[in-house]
Amino acid sequence: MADKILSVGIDIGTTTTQVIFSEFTVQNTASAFLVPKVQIVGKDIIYRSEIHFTPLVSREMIDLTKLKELIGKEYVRARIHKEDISTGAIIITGETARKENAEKVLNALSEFAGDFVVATAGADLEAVLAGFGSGAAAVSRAAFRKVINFDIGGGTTNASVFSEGELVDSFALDIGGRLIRFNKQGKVAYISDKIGKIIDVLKLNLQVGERPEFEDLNVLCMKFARIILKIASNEKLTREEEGLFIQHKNKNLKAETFMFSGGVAEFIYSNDTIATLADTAKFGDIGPLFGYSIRRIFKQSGDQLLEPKEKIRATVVGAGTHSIKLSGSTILFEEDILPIKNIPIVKVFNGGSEDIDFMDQSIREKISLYTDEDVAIAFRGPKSPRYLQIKKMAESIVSVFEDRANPIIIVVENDFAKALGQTIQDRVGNTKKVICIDNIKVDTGDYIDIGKPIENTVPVVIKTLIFKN
Amino acid sequence: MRAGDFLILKTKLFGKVYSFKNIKDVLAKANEEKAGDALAGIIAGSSAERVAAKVVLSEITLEELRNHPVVPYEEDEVTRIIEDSINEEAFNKIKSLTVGEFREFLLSSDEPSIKKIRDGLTSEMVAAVTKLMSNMDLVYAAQKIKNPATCNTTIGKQGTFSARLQPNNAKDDIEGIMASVMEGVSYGVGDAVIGLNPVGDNINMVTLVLNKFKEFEEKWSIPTQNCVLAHVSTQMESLKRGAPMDLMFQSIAGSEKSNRAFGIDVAVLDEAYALMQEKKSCIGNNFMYFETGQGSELSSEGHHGADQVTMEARCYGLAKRYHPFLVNTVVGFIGPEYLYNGKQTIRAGLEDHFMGKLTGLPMGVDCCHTNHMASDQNDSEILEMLLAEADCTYIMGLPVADDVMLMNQTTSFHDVATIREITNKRPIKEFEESMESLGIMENGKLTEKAGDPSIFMV
Amino acid sequence: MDEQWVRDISAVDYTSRVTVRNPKSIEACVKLKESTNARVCVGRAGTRYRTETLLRFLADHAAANDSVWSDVDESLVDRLGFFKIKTLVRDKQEYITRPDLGRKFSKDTIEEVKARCIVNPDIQIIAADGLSAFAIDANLEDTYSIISDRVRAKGYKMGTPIFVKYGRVATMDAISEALNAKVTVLLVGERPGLVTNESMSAYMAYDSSTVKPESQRTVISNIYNDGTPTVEAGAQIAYLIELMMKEKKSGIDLKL
Repeated sequence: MADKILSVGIDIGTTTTQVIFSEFTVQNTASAFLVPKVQIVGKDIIYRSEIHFTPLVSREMIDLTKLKELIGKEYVRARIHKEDISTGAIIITGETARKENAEKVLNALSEFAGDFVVATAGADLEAVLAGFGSGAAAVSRAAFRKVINFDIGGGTTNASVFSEGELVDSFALDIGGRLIRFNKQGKVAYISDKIGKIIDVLKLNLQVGERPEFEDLNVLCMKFARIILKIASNEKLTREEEGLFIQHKNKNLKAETFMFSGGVAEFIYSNDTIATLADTAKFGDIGPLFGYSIRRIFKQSGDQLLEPKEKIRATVVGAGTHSIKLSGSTILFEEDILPIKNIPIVKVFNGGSEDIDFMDQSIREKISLYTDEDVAIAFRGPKSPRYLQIKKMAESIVSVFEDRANPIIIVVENDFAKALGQTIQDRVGNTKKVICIDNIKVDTGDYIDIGKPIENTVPVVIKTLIFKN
Repeated sequence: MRAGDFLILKTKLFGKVYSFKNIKDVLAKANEEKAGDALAGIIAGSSAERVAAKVVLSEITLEELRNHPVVPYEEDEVTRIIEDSINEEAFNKIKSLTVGEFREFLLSSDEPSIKKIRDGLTSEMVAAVTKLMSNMDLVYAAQKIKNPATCNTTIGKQGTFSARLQPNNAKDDIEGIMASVMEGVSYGVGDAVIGLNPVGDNINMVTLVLNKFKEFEEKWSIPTQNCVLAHVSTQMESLKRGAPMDLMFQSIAGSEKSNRAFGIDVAVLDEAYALMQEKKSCIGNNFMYFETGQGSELSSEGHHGADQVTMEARCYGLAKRYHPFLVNTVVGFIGPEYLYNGKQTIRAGLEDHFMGKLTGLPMGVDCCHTNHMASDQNDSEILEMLLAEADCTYIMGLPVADDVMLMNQTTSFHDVATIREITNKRPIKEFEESMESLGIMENGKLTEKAGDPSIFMV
Repeated sequence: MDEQWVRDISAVDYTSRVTVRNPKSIEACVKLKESTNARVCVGRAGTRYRTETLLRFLADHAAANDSVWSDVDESLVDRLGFFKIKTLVRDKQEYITRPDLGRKFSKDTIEEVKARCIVNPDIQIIAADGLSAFAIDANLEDTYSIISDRVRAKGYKMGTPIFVKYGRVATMDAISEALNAKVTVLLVGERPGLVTNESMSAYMAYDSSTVKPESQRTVISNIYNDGTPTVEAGAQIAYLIELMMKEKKSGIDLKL
């Protein structure tokens, strides 16, 4: 028996907007003689939209009406009804996300989102999604190598590093294909102020309204390419170069395999030579030359460049297919309060060893920040707990919730949620709703969405960054 | 005294008279001691009675055996398949031989002579002569017969000793499965097939694993076969959806009733065979894989009062219809109620191997034991070595013989390599060449580099 | 003289121990070991096992073997209040070779059960040694306790728990018929493997009956520390009991 669920991914970037729809197959993969193990066994992208330019009113403001219209048309073209969507993500990326209209965009699009779609933004998350969408995560697992994926868009470069399928670092840089734009006459129409310093240091003669020298553009693009190579091979950066990191630096991990996605990647993996200003300005920005520069730099260095599964669509594919997880298959929930959204995580025993004897104390300390909000209590828990330990945990949790009106929501890593959930439920009776799920790892600062059940599991979305800017 | 037109089912031994109800009773009581025959209540009451049954059996002609199948023609499609496939010309050459004479014919003839009469045999004849053979007889006779078969590569040629790589995993975890595959290939194991027994029987899992095996074989240029040993109907569905399948597997039994307990009948097997002809991903014309094992008919109450050796022989008669690439008995897989100890298991392994070979199959043996049998790994090692002497086509290879999914022990990657060295046998040629280019084998022996699965990781 | 001993090889976690000599990548070997409990990355001596591998294999086989031939700790079943009975089997030897006898009781035994156990229970729990006494020793207490707490909290009538010595799965049918139980749960020691000798299975049936086919049963196997954790299996069994009480069916008829 297999269930299908529909997922949407919408990526609204500085330059482009894309939509994909995917179908997930969810199935119990355990034999009939074992406890169920429900997993996502297949992810098929059933529709990819064209790549639209993001409609803007001004350079700073997204045109909400046009955006809604554009996305509405894609739903029609894909023959998808929004009520059939059960999960997915809208992600606002690049420079757009830093503009104050991000939240407005999400509100405007919420009607397309169905009941359970995450709306989120943030450079790090974007990097992670692109790394999943490009296939970097999968390659790192299959090839047993550290893989770095640079997703180079119009405004930013978002990098993620994977080892054995797991994310080990993510970061973003103010480097992109549309930081300099040209008008039809080939004159400079825009220079992002993010790169002013670099231009000064390189003593390049680039000014808005002027026709640039090809060589100046070439020097700048080669500089960007070299910075990327330096980061990839973990070489030391200069102070100006470090200034290009957004929010935080990388963790200085050395990757063995390099991959590029995003719009600029289309020029990295092509065979076109970009040797003149005309070649460069073909699409009104420095993207083609930047891509060509990266190709040259990496060829010189002799490093292995792997072609991604998705280039310009990597982020939207990642958003549409990798933002959701399924809980363990033996859990406890009360369906009438699902879905629940944006529940802050209260991680008990933060980082330390988990001594159940001090559990109620630890929960009380952490939960005091949230007076009457719904929260989710999270911890790892023992691998195969004894029933005595389950009872002890249940009693601690119940005692803390005695004077709270909120439902009891528990998220644990190891496989004992049904045992703990039932034991809690037997103690609180009908006075409180109980949700207890396992196989989910979260940290303090995360927020969690829990969806309606599928085959006795619940889909979960963990949000690490919500509008941090 | 010769039986002429009528059957004689009575004899005297050391002054005591032994008489038997019918041929089925003689066949049962002539069996070497097996717990399963005792459980079925058909075993000889004493050692002397067992020998008396052998004496009576030795005088029965092959024609009489053909005329008295242990399950009637009208009642059972397995009987019908075997009976209807008999080549009358071949049968006429041997029909008047007694079982005792037939034994001597097999022991004294060469391979071409045996193969000339083979298509005249029914499974009851094959089983009957087995009951008159000692263990060394079984090794000697089986060793004469080679039954090569071709899928992507050709198995069963003189001088080869092959192995199925069995990477079973209790959680069907694909990475865990591949860890066992890498370990196995690093010992030169897997030339017969890389074949998984899945925990769950579902189409996605079958497809996923077949693809994964194919990918591995292609990546490292390893010429072999892939297989996932799910139920035939699951594999068919996976095949219809385009999975790359070299071999289709099914467990079979020696009666229609017991096959139904496996959820199959001849029509289903025919359908699977036809579908493979159309959609298989292998090159050759042998693309079926069957497993059998003494006791499975009794355990599903489909033995019709016959002994487990005879019922086992009938599995091979059925298998023959499908020109399989692989057939192996899983000897000792159910437990002590069928094969009590190492002695019974070794006997059963030699019997099954001989019977399969005589039937014309590329016979392999899974030398298996459960932890509630009075048997241990030493018994399995003895059986493997005897089988190697008998030119058994293939055995199983598992990490340290421990099947972490089926919770029993079989034979190991190390055993396969060891037997090849002891008996100076080789893997299938193309597979060996691939092992040589991977640096795992040289002149038929493992190199320094062998036994290190990490060579497939970096 | 000081007490000295050769190191305890059973205390070593062999599932993470790499004994390949000079592997191309030790990290890769470690990674392979993490992905499976199969005995990979063991290395070799000639074409044979290294001594460590051989000894551990023998030790695990011995442990598996012993669990078949051992008896369940009676003080445990006494403490949990189980009523003890026996099948027609006389000893382990007979138990191993005569599965038919391990499914049956004498008339007297059935009469005793009827006389001394709660009749018409909603839930009847049975434990049987099966093929591993150690599985019952390791799992029975937690599984039974969590099931009975939950079932009582739900207000169902619990029967007298029964322990069957030399018992096979089908004994649950005879007991269920004798006591007219609604849902019967049998906890039984599984055939041991080298990975574990503590794995237990739970067989469950609504209106369990000697004339119904095997497909009447819902099964959860692989209950042990590193399989389905004992308490979580107990919670799942309790959940299935509720479902069976509600749906009045089990086995293939019960949609999970």
